[in-house]
Amino acid sequence: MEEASSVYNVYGKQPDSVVREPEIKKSATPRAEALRELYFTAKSSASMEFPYWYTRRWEELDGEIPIIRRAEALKEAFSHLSPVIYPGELLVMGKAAYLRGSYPMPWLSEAYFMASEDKMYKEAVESGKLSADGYTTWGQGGGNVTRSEGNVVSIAGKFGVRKEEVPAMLQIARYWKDKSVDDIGHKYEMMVPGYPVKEALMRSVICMFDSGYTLPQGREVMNYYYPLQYGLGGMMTYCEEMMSESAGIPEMDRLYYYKATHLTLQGLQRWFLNYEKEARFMASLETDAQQKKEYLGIADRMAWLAEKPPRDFYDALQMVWSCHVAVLNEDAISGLSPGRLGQVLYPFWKRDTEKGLLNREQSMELLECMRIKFTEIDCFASMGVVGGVLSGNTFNNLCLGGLKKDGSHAANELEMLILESGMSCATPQPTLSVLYDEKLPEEFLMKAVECTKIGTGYPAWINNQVAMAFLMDNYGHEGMTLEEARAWSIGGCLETSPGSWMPLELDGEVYWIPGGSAPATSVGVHFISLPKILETVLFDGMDMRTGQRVFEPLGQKLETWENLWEGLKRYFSKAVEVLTYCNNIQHDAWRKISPSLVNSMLKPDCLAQGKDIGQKGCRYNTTFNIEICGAANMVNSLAALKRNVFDNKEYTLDDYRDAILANFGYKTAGEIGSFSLIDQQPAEKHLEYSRILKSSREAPKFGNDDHYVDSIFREWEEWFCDMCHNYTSLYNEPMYACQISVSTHAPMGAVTLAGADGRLAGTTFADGSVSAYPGTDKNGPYALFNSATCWDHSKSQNSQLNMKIHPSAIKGRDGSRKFLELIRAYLRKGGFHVQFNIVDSRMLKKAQAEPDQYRGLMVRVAGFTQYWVELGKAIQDEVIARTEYEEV
Amino acid sequence: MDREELTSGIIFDIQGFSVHDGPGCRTLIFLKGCTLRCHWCSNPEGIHPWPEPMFNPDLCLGDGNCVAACPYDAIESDKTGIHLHRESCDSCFTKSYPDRENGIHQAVNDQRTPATYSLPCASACLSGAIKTAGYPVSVGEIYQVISRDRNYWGSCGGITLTGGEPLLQADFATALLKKCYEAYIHTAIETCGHLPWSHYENALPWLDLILFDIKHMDPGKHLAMTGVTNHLILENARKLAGIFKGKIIFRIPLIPSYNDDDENLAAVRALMEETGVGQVEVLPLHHLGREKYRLLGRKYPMDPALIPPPADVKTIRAKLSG
Amino acid sequence: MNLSCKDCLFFLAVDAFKGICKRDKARITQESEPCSHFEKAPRCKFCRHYQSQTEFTGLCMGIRAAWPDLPAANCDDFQWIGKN
Repeated sequence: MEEASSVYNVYGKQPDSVVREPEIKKSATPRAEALRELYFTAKSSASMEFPYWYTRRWEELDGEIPIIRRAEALKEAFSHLSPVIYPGELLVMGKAAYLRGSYPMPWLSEAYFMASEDKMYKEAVESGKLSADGYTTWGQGGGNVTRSEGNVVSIAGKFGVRKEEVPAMLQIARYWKDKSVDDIGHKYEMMVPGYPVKEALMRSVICMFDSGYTLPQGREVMNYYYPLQYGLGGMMTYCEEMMSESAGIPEMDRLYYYKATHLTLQGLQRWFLNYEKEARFMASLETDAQQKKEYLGIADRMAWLAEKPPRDFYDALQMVWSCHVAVLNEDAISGLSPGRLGQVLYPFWKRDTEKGLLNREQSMELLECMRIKFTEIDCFASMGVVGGVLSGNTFNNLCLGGLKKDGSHAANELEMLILESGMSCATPQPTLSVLYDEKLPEEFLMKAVECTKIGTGYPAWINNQVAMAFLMDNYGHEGMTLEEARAWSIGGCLETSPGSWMPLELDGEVYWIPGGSAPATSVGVHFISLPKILETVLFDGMDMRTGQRVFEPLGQKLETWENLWEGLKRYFSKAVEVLTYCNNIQHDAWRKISPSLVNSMLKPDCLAQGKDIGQKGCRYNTTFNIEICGAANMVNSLAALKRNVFDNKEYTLDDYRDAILANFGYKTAGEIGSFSLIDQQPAEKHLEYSRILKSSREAPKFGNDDHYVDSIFREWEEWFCDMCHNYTSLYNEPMYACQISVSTHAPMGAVTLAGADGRLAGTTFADGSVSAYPGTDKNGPYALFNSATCWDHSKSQNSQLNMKIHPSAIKGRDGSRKFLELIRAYLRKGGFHVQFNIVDSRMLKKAQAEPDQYRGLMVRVAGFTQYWVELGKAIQDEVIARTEYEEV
Repeated sequence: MDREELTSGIIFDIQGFSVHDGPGCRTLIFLKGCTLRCHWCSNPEGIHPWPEPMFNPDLCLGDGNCVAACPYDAIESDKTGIHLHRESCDSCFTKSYPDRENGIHQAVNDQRTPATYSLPCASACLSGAIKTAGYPVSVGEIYQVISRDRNYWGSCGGITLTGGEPLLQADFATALLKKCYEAYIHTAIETCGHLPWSHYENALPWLDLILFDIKHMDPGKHLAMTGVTNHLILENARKLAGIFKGKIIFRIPLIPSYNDDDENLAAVRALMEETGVGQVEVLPLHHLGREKYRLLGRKYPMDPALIPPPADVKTIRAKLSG
Repeated sequence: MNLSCKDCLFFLAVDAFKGICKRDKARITQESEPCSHFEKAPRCKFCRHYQSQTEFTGLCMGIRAAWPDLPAANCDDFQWIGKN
């Protein structure tokens, strides 16, 4: 127990050996294995092709009706996108002409390029002088281009762009200055009363980012129904009919909408046909008969799908993927979920299988290829968003299970194969979630447990009934029925998103398939740091890190526990108010300058109504939320203050202020280079603070089934979930609570002083929303479950519980059954989400030291799966420190 | 509260989601105090009956707070650090609560929740270098935890009393088992077998499962590594097999070159046939507890390199299951 | 003009550093020396409408900004100047 004893800090014992291999090991088909190997060698790369043609056309159409101008720009860009087909691929198309390609969208925001223009230009000029060995060697390192090398310039420490394209990139960015969503939104948000508070909130990092121009879409569920049923041609015909029906008739915006959609579809058709051409070219060069046949098959398929609805499962899967990429290419998007894809595609799969056109092996090969395509998706957003919030993850959540329209369980054989392919071809995307319902069959659940045990981090386990209750509660006024609530799915990481049942007709039979029918369900006030709010309360509105004032002084001393609560509620409400107004303005700029056309044409009922998403064309529009981060740390701090200052009167608030400013006598996390609490080192004066630190750490902590602290948590949740409804979105709908930290708990922790809970300055907050702070849950998983469910999870769009578990606790067939019991018990208790990392902490320490040896290791952090080596160091530290529930 | 709920004892841990000590997911309660001194013991903090300090010198700040706090002057401080004279440590509990019958219960009443019990040295320690192993708790308090946990066990879970030797605190253990059994909770104990028969007799009506340890069939070898001969243990095993209506499973800690020879295994097999105990679990030796010896100021008696090869474990399991 | 594999019709880019030869599936870098099978890929720098301004910038049709390596396979106005 020498080296790692501190890791097994509180609960459980150290395992007797390092578990390297998961108990269940399955291998991918050779085709998928080869493609995955190619993926591992590929670096994230950005190309300017799409933005160039988009901007060129946009510029040409100065004076045109905005939505038409946008459509023409999209059409031009899609039409010019260079097709790339990699050998062995069954499914084709990508965001850009690289395997992990993406591109900036300066029409949303060009500020990043403007700010780093000089640096990038210099690097482009100087490039070529540096050795490029580190990156051009095949099969080494992670996928991020962290620094400029060779003829490639690094952008935001993640994307590589060819030096030849850098001047053009900067030129295009310059064009969008004062025209982008960011710039226009900013011009008007300054008119919001109290705008200086917003600036102060952003500078102090009480709020993490603006959603209007960073990631205006995403955290939503795709709907592939129209292309699957009618094909692109059918959709165009419909637009043509509706154009003639709406021309000259009042509410003329419908005419422009249909025209714009028609133009966009033309662009998509051209894009499909460019792939046909490329497939034929690849076939012409091919000597291998089988590969040649496959290229020609791809060519025929792309030509067919450019016009017509899919003929079979393979067609349908290609169509789904093409539409998915098409949406990703119209906006900066994270968290675009395919939704309940196994149920959407089931009619095709079942028919093909029954007819003997498709066997299990072929199905698996296609599903594995699909996994690789989803994993190739990269999201281009600025450094703060990509690294800080998303950790590079794109959250394409595929959901399984749940209920059918008629209330019976919805699991099917294709979903079993999707789980199977998630095991045989473990890749981060699409991440899987089981919509757990008591009606789901045991066989399906055991398969999902098997997949959980493999240690990929998926599936997440989600409570179907809790989500439905949330939807009925929040969308009832828009007509949500019990039946329609069953069509829901997870959008993005963990966002409950409304759906609809669509009647897919195939061979004369009607199948009700679920699909998303709302815009982005997580835009709005994003990531308010609760520990930081509490910090400003203690210091009367000041951010002590920067020495700047954030809020007006409270105007009263914090003499009682009630005063403290009032102060907290006051500052939090003020932050929400200002941020809501500013955010509504940004989203308004977005819908005017960069309206969604591709996503809109797919989402019911935009096409029927002739309105895009920004005009409330969707069936459900109550989709703005208020997202928080660090609740466990704030609640623990409140409990410590309540006990030590107000109940026991052991210390005064001034004692705490002094200790917090002195970081309890410890060095800062930045000084020692670790953001994990277990690595923090005392400075000279630490003995002066050791008594107050002990008292703080010994105060009741959330996660131990301790009523003292859990009741504070509950009071917070009840107040917070309720107060969100007092604020109104751009679409004039009430907002709701959302609580997932994604990865913000690291960067937000980094700028927050020590807390009264004993957390030291700069260290990472607890992740998720109902996860305990690492090392403080001393009473085991059952106590944690009880604490986590001390409030009603259906009051919020989500809650999040991440647990690490050692394989020894769940090994063997019997272990699988016990594991299911554990999961089921938590969900029965009313938990919304639980997810597991099945790993050994020592394996993670090793992985941190030798990233190359652990290229394939996936870790679940804050509701998503990512390759370990691509996580930031702060997040890696946190995963290591978390208590393991393991027993040998 | 009835009398049973007030019955109190000293435990050193409660663990939920235990999956290796009885059927289903279980909650384990570790009772303090043992009648054996097995060299391989992985819970050395469970051997001694009273709360005792566990001291990690690596965390010590050298502030001397514990020295001042110790009521029996049992802690010394010098240049090399802190030294505990553990022979006085029992006094902290036993002299504060001299009445053996009601003392533990009195201790329970003196604190708000079980986890707050702490020896004076541990309370004074600011760095977390000294912690307390063992705390007094009442049946009612443990039952609250069990009531919570049973929501999470799933279809076939329950409780297992272990330790230490759980039936050493016979009244406390029996009261707890009775309380659970009457609430339709599956109950199990893991026992070393070395106890007066009366300890079993009272507990039997409230038990579903007994995990009965067989360390060695030879009395001399038994004595060498556990501190006692096996006469009483084997006598109890035979008696239990005769009258216990629930299930008995034998458990053998597999210690290489000690109890893994054919002769011993054959003797175990014979005992199984004689008693009709059909099931045996083989638990391979591990050294996960050895850090705790350091914290208790004791020397770990086993060689940490000694680990049964997985192949041997497999063969032995096969031999024993006939 | 110094041409490399990235300028070739048979170059399949994997990322900004490297790619695969569509003909023989060899793994090559963007800067690899062209082989005897080299054929120019349609790019602005090979188009008669492109007018160079600086090393990495130029004009298309005399008015629209462009750059020499911009792929032009899907540009309707592309016209070769001296193909191979």
